[in-house]
Amino acid sequence: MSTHGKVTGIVSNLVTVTVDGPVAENELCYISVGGNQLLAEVIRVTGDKASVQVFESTRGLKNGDSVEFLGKMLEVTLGPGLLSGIYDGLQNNLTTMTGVFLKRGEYTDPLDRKVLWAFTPLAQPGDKVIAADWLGEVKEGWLPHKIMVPFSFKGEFTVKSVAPAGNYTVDETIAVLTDKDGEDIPVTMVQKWPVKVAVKCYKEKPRPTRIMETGVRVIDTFNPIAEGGTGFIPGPFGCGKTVLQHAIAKQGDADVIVMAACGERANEVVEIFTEFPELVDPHTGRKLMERTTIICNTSNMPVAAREASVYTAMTICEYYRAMGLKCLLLADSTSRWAQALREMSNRMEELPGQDAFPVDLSAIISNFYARAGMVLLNNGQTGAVTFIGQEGRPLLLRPRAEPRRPEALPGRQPDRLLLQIPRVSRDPGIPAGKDPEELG
Amino acid sequence: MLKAKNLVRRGREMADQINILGDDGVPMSYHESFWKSELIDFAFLQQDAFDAIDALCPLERQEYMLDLILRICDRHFEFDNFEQCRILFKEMINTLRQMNYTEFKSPQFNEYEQQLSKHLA
Repeated sequence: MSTHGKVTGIVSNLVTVTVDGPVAENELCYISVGGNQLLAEVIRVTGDKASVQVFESTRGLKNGDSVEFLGKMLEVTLGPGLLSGIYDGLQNNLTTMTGVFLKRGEYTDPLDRKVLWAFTPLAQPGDKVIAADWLGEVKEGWLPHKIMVPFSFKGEFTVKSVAPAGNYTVDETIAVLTDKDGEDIPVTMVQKWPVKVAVKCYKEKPRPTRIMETGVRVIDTFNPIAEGGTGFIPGPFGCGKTVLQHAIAKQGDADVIVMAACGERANEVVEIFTEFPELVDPHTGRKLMERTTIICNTSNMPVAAREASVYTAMTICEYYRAMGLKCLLLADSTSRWAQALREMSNRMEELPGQDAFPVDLSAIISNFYARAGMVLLNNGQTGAVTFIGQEGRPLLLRPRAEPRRPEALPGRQPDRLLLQIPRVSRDPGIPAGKDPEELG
Repeated sequence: MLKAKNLVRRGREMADQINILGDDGVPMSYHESFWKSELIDFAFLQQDAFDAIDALCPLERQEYMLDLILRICDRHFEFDNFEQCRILFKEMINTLRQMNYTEFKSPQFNEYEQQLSKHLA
């Protein structure tokens, strides 16, 4: 039986709920208000009181409204059809939503359940498999999309049967696995994974060795970024961080690009929506959008979903990495994500750190950066997630670095890139790159 | 790469000296160092995101261009005055930029390289 509760306090989108049973941190819940179900996430539990952050506007919410806990964390749906999709931070498919503005409490399916995918089996009956092993593949655009043993499966399984080559929808069973107790488990093309948990279904995570070609001279030659490395582009507002990031997205040598527009202005995001479908990938000659997924949470959307958007983007990257692909995650911008964290931290009356940001901010950011990397898969192939974030408040958000210790900057380490855009480049008379001394 | 970075840093120091002491107040080598850094800046660091060819510069091309630019920077030039230095380097910067806008190793590209080679002799 699921846990229920009643709303007993509301501070903007932070809601206190008195619960009648066990709840866990990061557990999801639905708050009923005026016929809508508002999705929220538990961020603190104290006795029988749970503080939840609501991913929607809380207008009209009142004390006594009922809450139902779902017993699961915020999850993303992973399967063929994610590429070329445009999602919000909670992975709602924005293209299937109606109306000019997003309606409160409206949630859409991220995958098209009716599309038929041409499936080719890769595993044979009798094969021993573990989580993330490849069972078959479908063609998603020009990329081979591997259908894997769900990441959540623990232990070794035996393949009992695999569907023959043919066209299937994502919900049809494409394989049956038998666990060590002899129980048959059907597997479809879709799986779910909690966004805040790193996918670790790989053999090892060696140090990155290859350079990721961006086609931008000042990066490739002077400040190269490794495939599976991390980087960030700090710089003052309006200096061209986003422009540089778009250039990397267009030309970066990656199989999959995921762009997380986290707290960006809506007009900038609309620019991506209108520009990207027109662009041609210089490496393949195909449409750039075919290998791109956009996760968008604009500045006028609720702040709580901002945090979810970067985690959703990273989880999608990790999913494609497990297929042996090179993924590039561009987060624009992590400073706005930090602002969202600050907002919630302040509402919870936590002890403030520098500039009222949460004290553990650098740990949160570092943990997130640590999810990127090159991995050696169980079948010997490699996959990589390269992460490039950008920050308007660089001094606060450098992972594992302090402002007064420049030697500790990520750019000083071999697999990390720091590309600081100097303030002078805001001057229209001086082109960006005029101050090359600042470039690492 | 490190060599290019050092040349840019040195050029900046020279620019500061020239600003303080004036064009006539510094030796000719200061002007030469400054313009060598400008060459790296304009011909290599700056990139035109709105040009179909220059927007994407593959690694092979980057290596080729950096090598060419460093060969120019390695050369010691003789000038009678700083004006002469400025004119020559501006001419080379212009040629290198035209190369950036041209298809790699195309006849036009080779022609621009030929124009530069007279300065490298």
